[in-house]
Amino acid sequence: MGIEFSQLFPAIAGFTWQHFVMIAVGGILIYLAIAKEYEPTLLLPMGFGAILVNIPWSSALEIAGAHGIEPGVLQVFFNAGIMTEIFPLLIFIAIGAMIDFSPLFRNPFLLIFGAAAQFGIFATLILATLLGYDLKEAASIGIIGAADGPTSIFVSSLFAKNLMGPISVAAYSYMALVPIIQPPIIKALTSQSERKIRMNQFGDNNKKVSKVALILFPITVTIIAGLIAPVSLALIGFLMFGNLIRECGVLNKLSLAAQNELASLVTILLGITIASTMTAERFVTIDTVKIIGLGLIAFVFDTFGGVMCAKLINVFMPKGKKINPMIGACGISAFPMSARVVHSMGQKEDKQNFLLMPAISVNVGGQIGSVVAGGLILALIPLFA
Amino acid sequence: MEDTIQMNDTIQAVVTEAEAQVTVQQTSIEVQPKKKSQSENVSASIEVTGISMVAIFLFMFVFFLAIKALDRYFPGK
Repeated sequence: MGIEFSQLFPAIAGFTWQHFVMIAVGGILIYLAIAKEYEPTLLLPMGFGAILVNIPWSSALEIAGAHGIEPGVLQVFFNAGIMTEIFPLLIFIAIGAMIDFSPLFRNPFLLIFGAAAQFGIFATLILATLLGYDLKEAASIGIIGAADGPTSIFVSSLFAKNLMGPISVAAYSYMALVPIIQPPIIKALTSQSERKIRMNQFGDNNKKVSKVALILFPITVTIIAGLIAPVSLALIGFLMFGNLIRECGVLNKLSLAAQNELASLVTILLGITIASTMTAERFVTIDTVKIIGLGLIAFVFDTFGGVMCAKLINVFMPKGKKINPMIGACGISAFPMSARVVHSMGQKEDKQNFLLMPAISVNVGGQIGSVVAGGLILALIPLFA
Repeated sequence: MEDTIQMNDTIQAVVTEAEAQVTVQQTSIEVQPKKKSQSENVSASIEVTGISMVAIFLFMFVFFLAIKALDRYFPGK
């Protein structure tokens, strides 16, 4: 007959150890999503997608059509949703609809930590260039430190599409691992007496915030950010648009749809589409190991930046007005995990120490800070690259 | 005689096309941006870091002022 084994079973014939590794990676992501509940909405589709694209000749990636090789469904999703930035921007609408800015109105001073805790992004940017990455790739790796998956995907889709897979895996995994990553760093940087500082004197946690102010805030932020860095407008504008839907009070159904159905649907598509970049040839490389390591360093330096900023401010604060430096660590965007971590650490030291409200304020500031950092990277990197 | 003229025309056309290709290649070589060395990338990353960190704090300060202004003109009841 002359039919060879490789023609009958091309997938089995083309299977290599790299494919096996990637299927195992997919399995681990699914395990983490289900058993440990680490960001399941994203890690589960990514894990399954990794299996889907690592079976040789997968029709999800490419199909042999009448006109030769044609893009498969995941490639079509990638071109339509990621290359055009539509998926991450839709997620920003959903996130905007989930954010309540009223804690910031109660403690606006705490916004400063939302800036300080972005330090990890830039420390990692420098480290990545030292490891030989070019500026655009290094920026995409550094943005893992934004602790904000959609921002990482958005920036890497513009600057380093080839690294999107490992960057997304690192960003979402470390966000889920905040309760494990942050406590030892916070403990190493603070003394027990510092961890016992109470924040009762800070702001009025029961203060009512005006509806008009909450409606005007997203519009004001969009205009300010747009005037200063117009290239950041897509990122910040969509986030603030989602928030305006939430706060306007006349689009409750739309707000709920954005927070639930839109977020769920786009996250599924985003996860499985990003998995299309997790092919063995691209993922089983030394770069992936470096990116996973650099991502961890970004989170460590974020925490360092926030805590050290609080300690620096305390130098100038009178006794009785000092800030608990642990709340600086909440300046990363991982909401609300980071705030919960710091609150429970405070409770371990002193059962009467309630840090949750100021920690939440800092955490909300971190959400703004991470998007601003993403916008600045988009604006600055092309000028230097 | 006609054949010779036609051949000359063909040769001329081929030469013109070849020259055009050379020009396009030269142009594309000129357009290609020079790849930066590692040390250039490192110093650029340090510059980006400095500018970005200052800019983030400035952004946050402006947002702080915006919150203060909104809170002042539209106090919660």
